[in-house]
Formats: sequence, structure tokens, C-alpha cells
Amino acid sequence: MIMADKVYIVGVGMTKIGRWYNRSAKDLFYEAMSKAIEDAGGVKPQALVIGNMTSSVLMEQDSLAALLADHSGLRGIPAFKVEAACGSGGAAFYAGYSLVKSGLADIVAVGGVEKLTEGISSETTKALAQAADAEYEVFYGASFTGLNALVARYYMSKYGYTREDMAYWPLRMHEYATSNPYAQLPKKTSLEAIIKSPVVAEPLHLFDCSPIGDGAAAVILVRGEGKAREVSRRIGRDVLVEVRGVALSTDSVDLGSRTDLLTLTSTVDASRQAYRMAGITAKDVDYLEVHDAFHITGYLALEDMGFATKGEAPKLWKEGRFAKGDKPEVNLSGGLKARGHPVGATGIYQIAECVLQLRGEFPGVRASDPTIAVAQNIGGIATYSAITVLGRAR
Amino acid sequence: MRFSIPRYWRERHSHYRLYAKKCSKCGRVNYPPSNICRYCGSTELEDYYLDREKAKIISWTIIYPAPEGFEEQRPRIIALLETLETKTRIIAPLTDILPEEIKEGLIVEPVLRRIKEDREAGLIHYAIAYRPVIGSIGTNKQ
Repeated sequence: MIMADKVYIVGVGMTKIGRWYNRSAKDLFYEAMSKAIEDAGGVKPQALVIGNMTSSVLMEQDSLAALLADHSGLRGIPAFKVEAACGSGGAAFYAGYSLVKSGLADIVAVGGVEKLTEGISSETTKALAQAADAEYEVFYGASFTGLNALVARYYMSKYGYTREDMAYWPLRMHEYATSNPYAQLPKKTSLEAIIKSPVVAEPLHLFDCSPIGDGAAAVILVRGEGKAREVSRRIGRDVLVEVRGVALSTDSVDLGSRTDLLTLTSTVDASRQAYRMAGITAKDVDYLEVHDAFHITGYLALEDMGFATKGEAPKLWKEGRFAKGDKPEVNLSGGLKARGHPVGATGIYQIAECVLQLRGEFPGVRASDPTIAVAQNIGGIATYSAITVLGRAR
Repeated sequence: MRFSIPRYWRERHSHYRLYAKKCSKCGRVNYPPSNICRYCGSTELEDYYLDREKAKIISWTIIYPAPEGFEEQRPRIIALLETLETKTRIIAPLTDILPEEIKEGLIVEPVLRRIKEDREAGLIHYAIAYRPVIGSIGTNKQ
């Protein structure tokens, strides 16, 4: 019977993303985990899965999941870290889902945490570049932004887009983030400010990229509608959020060997698998959080998940598609661009935001009564893609 | 960047000659080299050296905040190239070229260059970079 039971998210917690020089990863995770447990009516997780990329390099800390479990009052429970570069959070969720779905545990916490501001920026740049191929890309001095810039330039050249055409993505993200209390950059910007921002890796400028920041998020999964209803009753909530589909796909780490540079093949594969598992198609998606580490990855995600034909996403976006009131509504959180991108935690932020949108409780720009929400989290340039489909049940 | 002598000794054929593996079944060149063809799954592969081919520029970037170890080489020009014969795509640095001279389709050739050094131990790492084929830019340009 266990395998037939559905899985529900009964608690979520997030910290505000920022440059938290005064707070450790333990402090940030404790806040997120405590909020998630409180949101779930005080249930005690029986296992913990952590998404994190850079603790080994930037914090000089391995054994991360045990450390965080111990400092969150969960000493002794099964705990482990999942690393899939910037997609670590989504991959950790995939692992956590399988633990609870299989019956190995009844209540599982999945958290993400990242501290990117412990050192100087060239160390952080190097740590993030480790998402790419160490011996065939990073060796030659390619940064992660640089590799995304190669894709962006190729895309812009092939489909005839200017930097200004592409800039409508960050413009809208900044606007949405102004009302998200968890966002790192809750401030509006202008096309002119985006265009004139300092160059990072041509053609990507600073405002085309997600910021460097610290943050933590956590969600709590339970198996079985009975258990989920019990939690909901305890805290007076009438909405259940069911995990309807999960998928994880991979692609090459190096960009050169890919047959099609402008398609996130792992996102195509994982989204199709997750939709099938959920019994939906792209047309059914009401709300979407996509991985816009750079404007280019946001546009490619919309195309590769079935919401725009190849080469059309920036044009549709500029015309106002995918905004509040459209279907799907995309990144009302402000996205990685303006909510922020605490690497291994990002996938969990996205899932927590989807849960709050489905409940009608998101504390920022609220989606228009969605019943199906999808989160897309990638690691590297979609070397990993994790897709999570959530549905509202009453 | 941390320097590992075994690692860079092991990779010397790739760094000096762009060592790759060409699949005997499907004919595609695997770069980075692989023990199994990443396109068709065949394990029948033969050594191939991409430094025998010229290449054309598909895309490029000029990186300003350079990763650790490349601070003195800012800005760093990295390109996605496609070799002319086997159509193999590789990521490689460009050299002997000004940013305004770079354009899509420009033909470049491999040349051995100093890539970086370990300032403490003094180890110098050489590897292939690409420069414009003489005559393709500058005064001879159309």
C-alpha cells in the first residue's frame, strides 16, 4: 500500500537571502528548518536531505548534513548531502521524495543552504566555476558566467536579439521582488540601468545575472493523505499540496560536446517525465518557477518546458507574456535574478514558493488561484535538471 | 587554482595537442576524450589529435572578473570553436587578437601558449590557445 500513497508537502520555511556576514550556515538553516517545522504543526522529521554545492570549498566543511541536523535539534536521524551544483536543491528534493515515497521514512525534511560570502569574490567565482568541466573548461580560465555568455551570444546572434531585447527579463524580476520579503534585491530597476551595468562576461552584464548571496530553505514531506490532513487540521489549513511529479535528468558537463547548444536537453527530458508522472501537459501549468541564473537560462527554460517555440521566448516575454495574470505566471518571487540564488538552496526556495502560491499564502506578488505549480532547478548549464510538479488538493 | 602534478602530467596530451578519441563506429570525435563513445556507446575508439585542424569561431565571451589564478590575464577571451574537418566543438582561449577583431566564423589555428603558473612552486602550465590565421584579420582584412 505504501507505494500507492501520495506524498504531500506540509511545511515550508525560508530565510531572507542576503550577504549574511554575521550568520553562519548553521544559523540560516536553523531558522529555515524551525519555520518549516512550525508551519507543519510541530512534526519531527525522521530524515534530512540537504542540497548544497560549495560547503567543501568555501566553508571548508564536509559532513554538512550531520552538522545541520545536530544544530537543528535533529541529532541522530539519517541525514546526507546531495550535490548537483546549482541544482543541488532540486536533486535533494528528488532524493527526499524517494525516501518518503518508498516508506523508508514517514516524515522527511529537505533543506538547502549556501554560504557564498565567506571569502573574496575570486574564490566564489572559482567555486561556482566548478560546476563546469575542471580539466577542459575551468583550466583555461572560463568562469561559469563566461560559459553562460557563450550560450547567450550564440542565441542572440541566431535569433537576432539585442541586449535590450533580453533585458526585459531582469526588469520584470526586479519589479516582482520588491514585494517578496525573502528577496535579496527587492528594488526596481530600469532598462537603462540594466544596459549600463558593468560587464561581467560579454554579452552578460551585472544586471543580467543573479546575485551572490547566502540563504537557507526547508520543506517537510509526509506520505499519505491521512497524515497530511492530520497536520492541516492541527494548524487550521484547508489546502493540501501534493507532490504530483518529480524527475531528474543529466547532460554533459562540458558544453562543447553537446549536439544542440541552445536546448537544455535535460530540462526537455525531465519536464516531459514529470508532466507524464503528474498526468498533465504544459498547458495545465498555472504557476512556474524557473531557474533564471542568467536571463538566457530563463528564456531557454520557457522554450524547453513547452511554453514557447525555440527562439521566441524573449519576444513573447517583451510582449507581456508569462506575467501576473497570464498562464502560466512565471517567477512572481523575483526569480534567481532578484529573489536571489543561494545555489544549493535555490531549488528548495522555488518549491517553497510554489507551495505558498498554491495555498494562497505567498507574502509577495500572488498567483491567480493556481492549482498546478512547477519548479525547474538546474545545475551547471542544465547539466542537471530537476523538475517538480505540485498540485493543490482540498 | 590548486596545482596537482599528477593531474596535469596525465592531461599533458590534451593540453599540448588536444588529444581526443575518434569513434570507429559513428566517426564522431569525443573531446574531452572518453573511454566510451558519448554519442553511440561504442568502445572502439582511436586516438585523435585536434591540433591538426583549424577551427572557426561559433561564439565567444570576454570575461572581466577572472577566476582565481587568472587575475593577471584579465580580461580573458574564451571561445566556443568548431574544427573545420571533423566539426568537433571545443572551449578554448583566444590569443593574439583584439576584442574588436573577433567575429563569428573567423578562422583560427591552434598554438601552444603559457596558460598560467603556480606562483609558489613556479610550475608553468602550457596548453593550446587559438589565434587568427595570419592574414585573416588586420591589414589584409577585406
